[in-house]
Amino acid sequence: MDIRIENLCISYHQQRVIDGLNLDIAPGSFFTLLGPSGCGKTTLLRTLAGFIPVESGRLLFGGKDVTRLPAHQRNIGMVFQDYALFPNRSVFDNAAYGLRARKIAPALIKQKVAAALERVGLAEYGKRLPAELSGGQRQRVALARALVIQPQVLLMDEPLSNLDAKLRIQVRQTIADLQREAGITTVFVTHDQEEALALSDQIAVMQKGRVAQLGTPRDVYGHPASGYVADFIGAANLLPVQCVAAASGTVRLDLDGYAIAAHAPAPLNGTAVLVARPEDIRLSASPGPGVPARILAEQYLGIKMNYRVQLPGGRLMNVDVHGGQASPLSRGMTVSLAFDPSKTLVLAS
Amino acid sequence: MKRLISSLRSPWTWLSLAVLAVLAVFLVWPVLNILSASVLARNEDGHSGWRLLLSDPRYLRAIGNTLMLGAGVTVLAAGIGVPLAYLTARHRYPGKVLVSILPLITLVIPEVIGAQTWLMILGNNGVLTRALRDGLGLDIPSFYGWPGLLIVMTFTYYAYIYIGTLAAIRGFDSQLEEAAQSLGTSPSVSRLKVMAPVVMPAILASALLVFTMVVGNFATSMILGHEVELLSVLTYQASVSETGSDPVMQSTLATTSISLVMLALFLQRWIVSRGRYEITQGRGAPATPLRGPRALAMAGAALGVMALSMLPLGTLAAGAFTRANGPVMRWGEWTAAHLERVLISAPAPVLNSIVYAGVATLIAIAFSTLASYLIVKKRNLLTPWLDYLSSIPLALSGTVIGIGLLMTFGHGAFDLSGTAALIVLAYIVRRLPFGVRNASSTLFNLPDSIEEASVSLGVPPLASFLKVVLPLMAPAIAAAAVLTWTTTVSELSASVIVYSPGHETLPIQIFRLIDSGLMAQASAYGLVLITVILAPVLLATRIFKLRLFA
Repeated sequence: MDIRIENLCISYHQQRVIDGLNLDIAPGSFFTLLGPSGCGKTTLLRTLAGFIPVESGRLLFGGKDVTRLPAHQRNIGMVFQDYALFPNRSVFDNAAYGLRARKIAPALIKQKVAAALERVGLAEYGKRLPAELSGGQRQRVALARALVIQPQVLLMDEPLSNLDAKLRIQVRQTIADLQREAGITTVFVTHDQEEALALSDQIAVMQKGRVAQLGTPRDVYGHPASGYVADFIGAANLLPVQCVAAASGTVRLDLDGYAIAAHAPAPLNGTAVLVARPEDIRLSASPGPGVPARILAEQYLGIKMNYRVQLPGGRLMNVDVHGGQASPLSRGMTVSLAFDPSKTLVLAS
Repeated sequence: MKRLISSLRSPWTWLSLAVLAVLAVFLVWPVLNILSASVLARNEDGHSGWRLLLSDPRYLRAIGNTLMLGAGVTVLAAGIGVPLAYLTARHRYPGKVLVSILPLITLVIPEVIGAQTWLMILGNNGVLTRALRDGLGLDIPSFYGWPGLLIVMTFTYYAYIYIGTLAAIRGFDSQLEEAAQSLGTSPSVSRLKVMAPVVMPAILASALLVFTMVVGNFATSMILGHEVELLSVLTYQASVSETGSDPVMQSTLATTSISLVMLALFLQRWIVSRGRYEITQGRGAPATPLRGPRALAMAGAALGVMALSMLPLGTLAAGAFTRANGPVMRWGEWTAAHLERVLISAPAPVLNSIVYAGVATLIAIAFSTLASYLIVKKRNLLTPWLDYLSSIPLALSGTVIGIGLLMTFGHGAFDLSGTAALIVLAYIVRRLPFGVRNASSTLFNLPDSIEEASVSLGVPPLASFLKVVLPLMAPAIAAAAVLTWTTTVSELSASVIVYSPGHETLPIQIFRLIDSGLMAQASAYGLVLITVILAPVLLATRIFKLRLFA
């Protein structure tokens, strides 16, 4: 079932939250809305669910106009941040709730719910109340409850953000497996870039109610369309620079008096921003042809070392060195930075 | 425009309109009647109520006395309630279990019974008065007037300050005190400098609540006031005097009462809003044991307060079984005749009370659940008004509500005079703010996502409310129903104005018997009243395990 969003406008408390949005979500794909809080991603998801009225524009599920269809008739499965399990119903009754609303025969309900709970690894827990489960187990129940009705669209509103780091990865895996198996078109809202990269077929990075960039995880990480996207996905160093380029391609530019090469995906006319990810900058102790910099601080992070360095002009950058083993670099040393022209971007600001 | 049209399509808009209409008819209209009559009505000499109020020193004295009484009772009640709360929150001492339960029970004892039983002990014919006079030849000053008013009201109302303060001290993060001590202040100075400012808004807020209740107080003022003229007594007399009611003065005095209470409530809101620091709900300090003579003195004082609080119940139980010749109690001679009369030959007040309070509780709870659901979960342009309107009765004393209902529904197109409907209506209006506040706080704690989960699984909104939200609210609704019942059964000040012969309730009957000095019979009715109040409380807490005072 594909989802099509046409010229969508939504206001919330008299404020335009989504302004003329167009999106196409391919059938069976895992589509993520990624962005900081207040960017409109949750509003968009809740509009797809039917909880927020559309001001203008159209929503189509599988070619059928659902713009004015009430939420309970949209045949969606929804998973909430706070699980939203019915606290007075057992795990089994929670999972059976949607099937009972659809007047399915009790014998069939029993069979389907048992299979769904089995699938999320909670076959033994049918009689428990939600309060007797851990957070990860609760979200699995919520997932089973949403999937057992075989919805045409699965909507997930930050389902992992109430879980601790380890559980988050476990439940993330369950979500990925189930979605692939069931082949249900899924819209997933998160502010966590790692989640988005790990799960999605497509990511829409949102900024103030608009899509800042749409693409595969590799696209948005490797080829950010703007400094905003680069900064949001992976902590990029963003440095304002002056640069002119008539066409896209490799350009040479001046960084605090030192010439470096970078890639410009589009023509530039003066003010631009240099985007360099911490792990893409090479740092060496011996003075070389690169840009000299002084180490101000270092942090040992297990799999890598993070250095905070100062450029000749006074600006600061973050540089990661993988390995993290005993390194000859330390605070106060002067090092040289080398920028890989294929991974260093200059974007119009 | 588009928003308006789309909102008209929603059933919730229509429900909000219906609830608003009900509030307008039964609440706003009576209040407007009082306010407009206070300005427009003229007596036979053509004078307005305000002119009479300002020209007759009796009325000005009454206002002065009422304010003085309010201030006095508030200070005394805080003097008992605050230390008791601190002691209970922070220390362990012998008898603490009693101290932590009893103030709640005093809330349940009807005010009219409190006044009555104190009279039975210290009144002109009181058991202690007579013992001192006959035994020692001591004449203690009359209990009527200021001494009686101050003592009885203090013991009626200190529990509100106790509860408010206790909650604040328990919610106070003791780490702040530890932080102060780590920075070099001594424990007692830390308490004074760190805890006191944080807890103070709660104390002031509950103190002002007590002040408003004293201003609106009817039963104690009427029974013990005598020569001390008080606003509520004059208002009542203007409404139901034997020489016919005084429509001009009743509305003017009622408006005066509304203004005083409103002033106190605004002051309270201002204090509460000013005191809104961001308080991280931390762990309260663990209770430490009190030791040594100081501990004994403190525990003794606390238990003394408790004994005085429980005095009404003991006196009532004894009085109900004591033989009496008219107003003279023959202490020591026992009889079951009073109770037999109450239960067998004249049970009408018992039955009336049960039926009226039962009906009122059901309607009030259903209505406030619906209104709160609209206010909290289905916000639209109208729902803030539901919230404002349903809190109006906070500013209305029972007497004022009674007068308003009688002025509006005592004649004319919606004539309900002579029916029990007026009493039920008065009960519902009085308890409305409590019901709405209670249901709203339950709904606030219920995440919207639960209802949305149900809708997303294919159940329509209204069915989702019934299947998912209502069952989750059920324990809180039941608890609210029980508390509404306890306060409704003992309601006197509004019902005594609107009742008609044949519709006497237990408090009304008790009030009339006290007026005639028939204390033994009043005690018997009182005992039954307390049973009727406590039976559902015990049932709810013991059998259904409801947490009423959460």
